Amino acid sequence: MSLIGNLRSFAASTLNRLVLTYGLGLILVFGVIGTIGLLSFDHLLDLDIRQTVQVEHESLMEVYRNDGRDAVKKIIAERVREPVNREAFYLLVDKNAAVLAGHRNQLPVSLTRHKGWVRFPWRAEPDSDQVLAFVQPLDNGDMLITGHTSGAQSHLRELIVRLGFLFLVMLGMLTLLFSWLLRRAVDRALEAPLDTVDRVAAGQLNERVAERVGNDGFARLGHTLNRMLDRIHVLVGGIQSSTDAIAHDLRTPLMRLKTRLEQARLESRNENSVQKIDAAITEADQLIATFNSLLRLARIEASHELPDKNLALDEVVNDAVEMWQVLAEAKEQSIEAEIDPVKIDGDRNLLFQLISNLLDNAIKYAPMQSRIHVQLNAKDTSAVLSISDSGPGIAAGEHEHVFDRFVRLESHRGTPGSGLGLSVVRAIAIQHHANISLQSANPGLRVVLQFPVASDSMSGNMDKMSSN
Amino acid sequence: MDLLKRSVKRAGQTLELQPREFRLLEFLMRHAEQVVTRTMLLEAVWDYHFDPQTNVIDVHVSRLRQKIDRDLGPPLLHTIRGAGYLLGMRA
Repeated sequence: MSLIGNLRSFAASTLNRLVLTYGLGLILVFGVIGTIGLLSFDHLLDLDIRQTVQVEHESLMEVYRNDGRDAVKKIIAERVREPVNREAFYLLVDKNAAVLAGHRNQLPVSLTRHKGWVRFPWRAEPDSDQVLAFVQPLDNGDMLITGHTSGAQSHLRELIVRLGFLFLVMLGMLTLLFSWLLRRAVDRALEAPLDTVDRVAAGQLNERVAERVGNDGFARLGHTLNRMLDRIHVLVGGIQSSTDAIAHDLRTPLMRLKTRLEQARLESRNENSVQKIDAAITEADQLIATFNSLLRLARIEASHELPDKNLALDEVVNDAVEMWQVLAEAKEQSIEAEIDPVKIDGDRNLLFQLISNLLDNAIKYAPMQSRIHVQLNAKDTSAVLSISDSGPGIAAGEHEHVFDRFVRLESHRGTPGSGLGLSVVRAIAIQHHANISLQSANPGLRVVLQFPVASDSMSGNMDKMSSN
Repeated sequence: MDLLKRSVKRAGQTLELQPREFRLLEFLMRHAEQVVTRTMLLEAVWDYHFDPQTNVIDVHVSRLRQKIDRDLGPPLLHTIRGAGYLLGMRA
């Protein structure tokens, strides 16, 4: 059962199918050539035996014609006693089928009333060699049978057939081996470009395929992919740098606008206009916050450094939970945290920002008096952080979408927010080589982040052990 | 404020403060009569440089204010609009 499954998965690979087709074709061609060769071998063998028998027969007939029946009888008796050729067969019978001389004591049943070429077994055993013989009735009713076995030749034939089968089996095994080797080689050649493209798809736009020497398809694939990635990088960079430039250029006039509004507020004696100016200042604050977020996002995306080696992620998570606890309490929500100690390489300020944004969202969207779960689990090679709430959640179709800049779900239009929170989360996750995924918490949203653990945390543990 | 015992008294009454609230008050007292910004508080009290995007600092400060200012004489912890906070006597 599992063999069939294995075969099915084996045949599912294009390469395997290709090599298998090639191998089966090869086996078929060799099989056909072998069969044809064998048939012509049989034919030639037959001709050869017939010729030998013919010559022998003619000489005996000549003796018969010249010297009569007794001379032939004598020669045959002599040849049976002291064979010149162990594969020759002679039999002389009279008209009553009584044996006069030869290799049999009586006429084989298959030879009665026969004339011309005939085939019969040399001995009574089932796999006995065959005799090919010529039956010649003589004038006086006698019968002269001259034959020859195919003993030595049939052994040779058997050997050739066996070798042929062995050859086909070896060819089949070679095909399998070759298909395995080819598949491995191609998989290896494709692994690096595929991994690179995966990483680029995950957001690390400056990753490139290691170029191979040579000018085969794989080298060209790497080269072409890199050119495409360069182009994508330039285009995306263009979009990003223009938004970043806009954010930067507009921030200063916005700050000036806010300062003027504040001066106006101080100088205003009219309660009504003070209220309006306050509203304007709040709006200006929100604009400035959005621009700051954009610029921050640009800075995060531009940097690839993780300054804090062996950072205790559990402490950062605990600090963030403690900070946001007060906001949750204001909504009578409780934050339940299960935190394992785990170390990663990272940037503690950005990680705090990431956790803050997720907690802020959870608190904002979860209903009053609900629970928010924060878990940090230490696995062998990764630290898994999950934050789940029991709010309205995000439809599965929107999952990819919500990480984009300025994307806010229709249902969230009424709540304050810039639409950059999750973009910042994703940018920080990418910077930390973390996997981020959104799941349904039934009801609610669960955000799961998988960080690789600190590169030297293993050796760190060993140091601790040795110092103990 | 007794930094060693980690206890605070106002008008003869001991205030029950959480460790973070204690650090917040300590920082405000060290910068008494000065305006402290939210960013300054974040870096000094929470030791993280980040952008909270919401009023989480205000909530922490208002909790502290409830503990130190309620029914204990004139208010000491003031919000300075658009800038931050100030601990001190104000007219």
